[in-house]
Order: sequence, then structure tokens, then C-alpha cells
Amino acid sequence: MNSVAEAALKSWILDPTLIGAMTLSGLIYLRGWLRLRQQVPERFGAGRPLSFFACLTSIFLAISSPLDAFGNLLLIAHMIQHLLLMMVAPPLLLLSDPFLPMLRGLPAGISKHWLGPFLSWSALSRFGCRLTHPVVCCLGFVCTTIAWHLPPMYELALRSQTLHVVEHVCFLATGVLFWWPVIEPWPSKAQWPRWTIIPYLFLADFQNTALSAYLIFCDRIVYPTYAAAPRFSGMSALEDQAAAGATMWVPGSIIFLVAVGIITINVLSSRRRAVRPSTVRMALPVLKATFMPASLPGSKQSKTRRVDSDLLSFPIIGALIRYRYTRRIAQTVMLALALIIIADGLFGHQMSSMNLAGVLPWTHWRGLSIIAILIAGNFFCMACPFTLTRDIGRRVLPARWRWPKRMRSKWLAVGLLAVYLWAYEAFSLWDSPWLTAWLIIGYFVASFVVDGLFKGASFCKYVCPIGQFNFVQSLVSPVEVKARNLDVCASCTTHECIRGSKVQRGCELQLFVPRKSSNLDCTLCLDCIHACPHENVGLISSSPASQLIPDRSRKSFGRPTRRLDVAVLALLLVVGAFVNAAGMVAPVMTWEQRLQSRFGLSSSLPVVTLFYTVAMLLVPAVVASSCVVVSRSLSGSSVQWQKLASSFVMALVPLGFSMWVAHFAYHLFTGASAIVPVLKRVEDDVGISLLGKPDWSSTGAMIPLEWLTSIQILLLGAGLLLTLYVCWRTASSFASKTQSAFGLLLPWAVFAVALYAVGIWILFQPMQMRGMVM
Amino acid sequence: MREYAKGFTANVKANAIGIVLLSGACVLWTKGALADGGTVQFTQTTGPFAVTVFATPSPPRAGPVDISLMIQQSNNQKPLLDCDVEIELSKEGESSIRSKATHEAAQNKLFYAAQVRVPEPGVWEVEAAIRRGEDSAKVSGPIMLAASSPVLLSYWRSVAIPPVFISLFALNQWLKRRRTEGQKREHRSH
Repeated sequence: MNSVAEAALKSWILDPTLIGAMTLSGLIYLRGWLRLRQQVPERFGAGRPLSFFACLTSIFLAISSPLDAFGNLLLIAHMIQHLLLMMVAPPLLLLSDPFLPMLRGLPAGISKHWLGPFLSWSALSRFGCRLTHPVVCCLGFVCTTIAWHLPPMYELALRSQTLHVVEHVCFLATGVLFWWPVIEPWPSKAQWPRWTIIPYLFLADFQNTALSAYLIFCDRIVYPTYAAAPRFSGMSALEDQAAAGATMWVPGSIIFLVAVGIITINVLSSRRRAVRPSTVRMALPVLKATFMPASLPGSKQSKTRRVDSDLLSFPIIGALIRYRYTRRIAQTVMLALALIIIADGLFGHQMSSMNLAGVLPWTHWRGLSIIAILIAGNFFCMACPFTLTRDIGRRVLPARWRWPKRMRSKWLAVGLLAVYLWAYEAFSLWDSPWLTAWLIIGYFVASFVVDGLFKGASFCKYVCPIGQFNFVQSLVSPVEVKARNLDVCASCTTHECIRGSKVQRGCELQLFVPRKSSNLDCTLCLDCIHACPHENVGLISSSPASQLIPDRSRKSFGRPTRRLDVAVLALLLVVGAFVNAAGMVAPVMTWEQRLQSRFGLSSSLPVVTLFYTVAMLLVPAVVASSCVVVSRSLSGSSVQWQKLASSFVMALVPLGFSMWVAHFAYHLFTGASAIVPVLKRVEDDVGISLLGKPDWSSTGAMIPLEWLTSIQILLLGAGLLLTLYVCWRTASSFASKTQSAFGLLLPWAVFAVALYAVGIWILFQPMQMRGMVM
Repeated sequence: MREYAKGFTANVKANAIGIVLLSGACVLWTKGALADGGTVQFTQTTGPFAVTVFATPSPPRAGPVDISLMIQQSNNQKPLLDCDVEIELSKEGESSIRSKATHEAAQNKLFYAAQVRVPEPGVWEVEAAIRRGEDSAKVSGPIMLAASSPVLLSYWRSVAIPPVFISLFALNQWLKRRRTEGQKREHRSH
């Protein structure tokens, strides 16, 4: 193969979002197909998934292969792309009977509660019937094809990336509609007699032939872009145009004629009429299982708890987590890392981006632990190295007092967190390896002293700011320590999960598994899992918002909505996410510098202190109070002030969490590679030369910044949606009438949208690249 | 059951819309990157090289701009893939922007591409220095950059997602409420 052809064939556009979306669709289809195959093997044979994956492949080839890269140089490439989108992908999609497999492949809750109302909406059904009427389908297909091939439209699509995408969507969509009456995907019914599809196909073929013939026989270049494009393939622009016309004509007509042939055979044979009704009858229980809403006659609400997936039952991961020494090993590794960071922070190079203490804790640890919370759970607390010194403290010191009753709340942690967030910016902790090292040492000492003197895990529960941060954020985690079967717990009299046994301690934070309803205060230590003699505790999946809605009383915690300290902690962390990120964007920094010079201040400390006091403490307090007042006045509700505030503040947690993830992920993905030269520097400092000399210019972003911004916006959007959903559920739980619920919801929704807008503004600002050599 | 099946069969039509909308949304959302190629800005033949310069977006705007070059042998139009290409954008009163154009940065591997961030709109001079073995040449030409579009517009796909989902959720809740009320009415009439 010559080098030009080789380079051309390498011109794939591998867009991770496209690949992700296709993989997800494929997995959902496959999951649904496997379930349906067990119930109706005659209907869902192996050909269906083959057809579905062939459809995905043809779409992928059309928009990711070199065809797309060469679309603006060669008309023939562009025509093949269109052919795949209109004539290949749609029939393959419909032949795979995708509706039931896709619906069965989705989680049951989504199918029933989210899609169900749409599927049973009569107006949408009527619209669907009209849309899939053969006249509409044929007209849509023909008009779309002609319209987009008119030179002005075609040129517009070539010049604008967005319009080009719109063009492809039109082709794909009208292609699906056009092939609908031809294939009649199960379980739809024909609107016209079958024989009418033969002239239907001939009509479309006539249009295809006319357009192709025009391209082939026209003696001028129809689309000016191709006249200006460099020629490299040996074909002139006119020859390329003729080849494109031929490509449209021959394979296009073959596809139409094959369809005509099959339908003719179908019409002439009586087999189809005999088979079709029986398969529909056979499949009805499948439909019932998929969609039957609880309120329909014949359906039964299951009284037993739904079996959720358990991370511990996953093959390798489950065994690894269950292994008795996993936590100890993780803690030891983290302890070793902490000691190395302390040593480098105290004695190494004091430029933060060249020191382990400037890079590992602020870039890697923060980013990785928040991503772990997002995809699984609070794994940092699980591997926390400070709990090792805590255990030593218990042996050396008496550890016999109970934590003072007056301090059994989150108020101390709230204060420490506020001070930490302020100090981070005021003293530029991220920029001082020496201070970072002392901060870690301080942590070790505090955990040693507190748990050396007091019983239980007082440090984790009442003091540790990192723990409180992780507890609140993990309310959005998809995994929760829960009882597998509550009936087993009800029959248990020994309660090892909380009391412990001879060989295994129980929950030190006094969380009783059967009454545990969220990840709050759970350090994921897995003591309850190891202690339970019935093996009835697991890491069970939970839907993202479920932990924020229930208001069950919990042992050692009480009702979350009656805990103002917890609400204030949550609010601090929500607003802190935005304030912390805002502190490092150019406009805020410039404003702080201006203020400093205006008042002739020699240090930025007063300005930063003012900014944090106002933005992180005063504004949220005033806004939250106002929201409660407006909520009560709009809804006419007499719900207790504190209960209302606590419930709605907890609903804001997903938004704050998404901002933390967006922020920390930014630093992780832009600064992760900084660790390589820093490690080389450390190695060089201690006289080893295994890795070589550090190359400080080699640090760069792991993914393009445009993608990163898109991902950040998506995360923030997801956080907003989840927050609004929890707000709606919370409002509905307080008010039976829709109008009152809206009144309760409105001020909090406005607050959430305002925070989202601030977040978007922050994401669009130039952000200080911390932990990187510039 | 028969009635339910009939209802379902009719409702499957709604799936058509769903599938069409979803497939459209997926493709629309995923294809938003700044691709190379775009529109031809100028073509020049100098020495052994025939050079075509492209720019994306179309029309080019201040902000991130993709400058791509296709270099061919001037005598037989064969694409040349082993050149060293450096581009420079200059404008009076602005500091010039230099960047190496490579195949790695290009989606179409016959091109040499460079992504640059141009701070100001106006007419910029693009100069490409090409070296291939002993041969070297420079081509230059003007490129007109319009004012940059607001950042929010560049990310409209991502920003549009929450309002779309909020609307769908509102519709979902309205439909649920309507169904519940309908069932209550039916229950009362029985």
C-alpha cells in the first residue's frame, strides 16, 4: 500500500463521546435481548443483535471513518457517507426490532417511571401513527434527500460543522421513517396493504435515480467546494461527481430492488400472514413484564425488596474488597505515601509544582478520591492513613472517655472546614510544600490524640474535615453499605455489625446496618461486613438521589432533617465548591488584587478573608433564610423552619458535588503528568538515577481542554438536574397539592439555577494552573 | 390483556419518534469538535510544492482556529507527507503566533494541521514555511477572521441538556398526574 493510501486510511475520527454512546446503546440492547431471548427465543434470534451491531457499525463508519475526513475533498466519499446513513443503517436498525430490547435493557425504573408515561401518552401515539404513515414517510425521505442535495444547502452543510451534523441527523431520521412501513418492526402494524409498499419503493427509487443521473450527466461541477478543493486522487472534480452519482444510483437502486423482491415474495406467499399473529400472542407476557404499570389491572406490587446489585458479588473486585487485609494494605500504602510527602515537603525543593507535597495531595489525591466517590463510594476514608496512628493512640493512651455530649454534632467540623477552606486560599496551602507537610503531620497528631483519649471513632465522626467532606459528597455515590435482606436482620439477635464479635469490631461510628439509610458518617471501613455472621451486609447499589430523600430516624444520628448542624455542613460544602473554584479564576483574582491596591494593603489576607466571609458564610446564610421565608409564603405551608431548610439544603448536595468533581477533575486531567518529573527530581535528590533526569516541559493536559470543558459542563448539568429532582421530591413530600409544591420548590430551584450559572461562568474563565510548571 | 396489547402496539409508534430523536440527539451531541479541513483560504504553487490552506471554523473567527495545509507535488498533484511545516500568523500591532503543523494534529492524515488561538479579529497574514529534504518554500496569504462567538455558543450542546431534561421531566410528571386523575375518575364512575 502506498503512503498516501495508508495515511488516508488512518484518518479516523475517534470521538470518545460517540464511542461511549454507541457502546452504551450496544450494551443496553444486548442486556435487553438476552432477557427477551429467554422468554421468546423464536422472536429474538441471533440475527437481531447482529443486525443491531451492523447498524451501529455502519453509523460509526459513516461519521468516524476516513469517509468523514475526506467528505469535503471528494464528493464520492460524502455520498457513501449519505448512503450508509439513509440506506444501510436505518433498515438494519429496524430489522433488529430494537424497541423491546432497548426498553428491557434499561433499568426497570427508567423504563416504567420515566419512559412509561410517554409510551402510554395517546397524543404521542397519534402523532407516531401519523409520522409513520407511508405518505409522510415517503415524502419526508424524498424531500429531505432533494433539499439537502440542492447546491446552496449542500454548501452550507459543508461550511458549517453544526449544519453538517443536522444534515446527517435528517438523513438518519428520515431513513428510519422511510424504512418503517417497509420493514414494519415488531410489534407495529401495517397501515397500508403490503402490496402498496412495492410502488412506494419504486417511487423512492425513481427519485434516487433522477438525482444520481443529474450528478452523472451534468457537465459542470454542481458543488463549488469540490471545484476549489485540491485534487489528489487522479480524478478530476467532474469525474468525482460522476462517480458519486453512480455510487448513489447503483447500490441505492440495488437496495430498493432487493426490498421490492422480498416484499413481492411475502405478498405472494401466505406464510407471513400465518406466522405473525401467533408470535404477537406469544410475546404478550413479555410486554406485560416490561411495561405493565403498577396501577393496571393484573399487575402486582412486589412487597419484597428489589434485589439490587452488590459490589461484593462482582468477580474480582468483590473478592478484593472482601479480603480481610485489603483495608490494612491500602492504609499502609497511603501511610507510606504520606510519610514520603511529608519528607519531601519539609526537605525537598520548595516550588510546589516540583515537590511531591505540592502535586500529590492537591492534584492527584483530591481528584482521584472525588472521582472514586462519583463512580463507587468513599474509598479515601477506607484507605485513610490517619486511622493507623489512631489505632496506635488507642494502645498508648487511655482511650476511655466518651466524646463530650455537647460536642456530639457537626458544629466543630463545620468550623474546621470553614477555616480549612479559607486557609487554603489565604495561605496558599497548595503552593507551599512545607505547610502541606505540616498540615499532614497535624492530621496524624490530631487523630492520635483524639482517638487516644476518647472512645469510638470520635475523630472521624466529629473532627476530621476531610471525613465530613467525604461523608457529604458520598450521599451521591452509587454504592452504599446496606443489609442484603432486612428479614435476616430482623431475626438477628446478636447484632455483631454494631456490637462486634470476639475477632472483629463492629461499627465504630455506631451506624446500625438495618437502620442505616445513607452514606453519611460511613467510612466504608467494612467492619460491619466482616463482623456479620450471616454475610448479610453488602455494598449495594443505590440510585443517586435516593440517599437524599428519605427522612428515617437513624441510630446515633437522629432524623437528618432535624439536624441543623448537618444542613449547615452541607450548605458550606455546596457553596464552598463554587467559592473555592472562583478563588482561582482570573476575574476574581484580579478583583482581589484591585481591592488590595485600592486600600493600600501589603498582604492579600484581609481581602481573601473578606471574600470568604461574605461569599462562603454571609451570602449562603442570607439566601437560604430568604428561600425558607419565600417558600413558606408562596406555598402557605406551616412546615417548621428548620425542617424546611434542612431538607432543601440537602437537596443542593448533588450540585455542590458536581462542582467539586468538575474542579478537581480539571486539575487532575491538566496536571496529572506533573508527577513524572517530580518523581525524577525526588529520585535525583536521593542519589538514584533509575528514571532519568526530570523534563519539566513534558507536563501537559491528558485530554484536550475543549473536551474537558464539555465534560465539566455536563457534570454540572447533571448535578443541577439531580438537585432539582430532589427538590421536587422534597417539595412533594411536604405538600399534597401541586401548586403548594411549586411554591415550596421555586425559591430553592432559583437558588440552584443561580449556583449553576455561577458554576458555568467559573468554568469559562481562565483558571490558574496549580501544581504545574508553566 | 387484548386491550392492553392493542394500546401497546399503537404506542410503539411513539417509539419511532423516540428513536429518531434520540439517534439525532446522540449524533448531534457527539459531533461538535473543531475538525480540520473546513474551507479553502488560498492555494499557491511555489517551487516543487502546491499548497492549499484550509481554515476551520467557517468563516474563521477569533479564538481557537484550525489551520490545515495540504501539500502536493506541483507537477503530479501527489500529496507529500514527509514535510516539516511551520506556520506563523501575524497582524500589525499584534504579536505573531507560531505553531508547528503536523499530521498528528490533523484528522485527515493527508493534511498538516495546527490549532492556534487567535486573540483578535481582522485580517491576519498566514505564512507557512515548508521544508522537505533539500527543498524549501514559503507560502503566505491573508485570512479574514470575524469576531469571536460567545464561549457559551461553543458549548451550547452541553448547556442545552438541563433545560431539555427539565422540560421532559415536567411533561413526565404532567402525564403521570393526568393518568392518576383519569384512573380516579374511572374508579368513581364504577
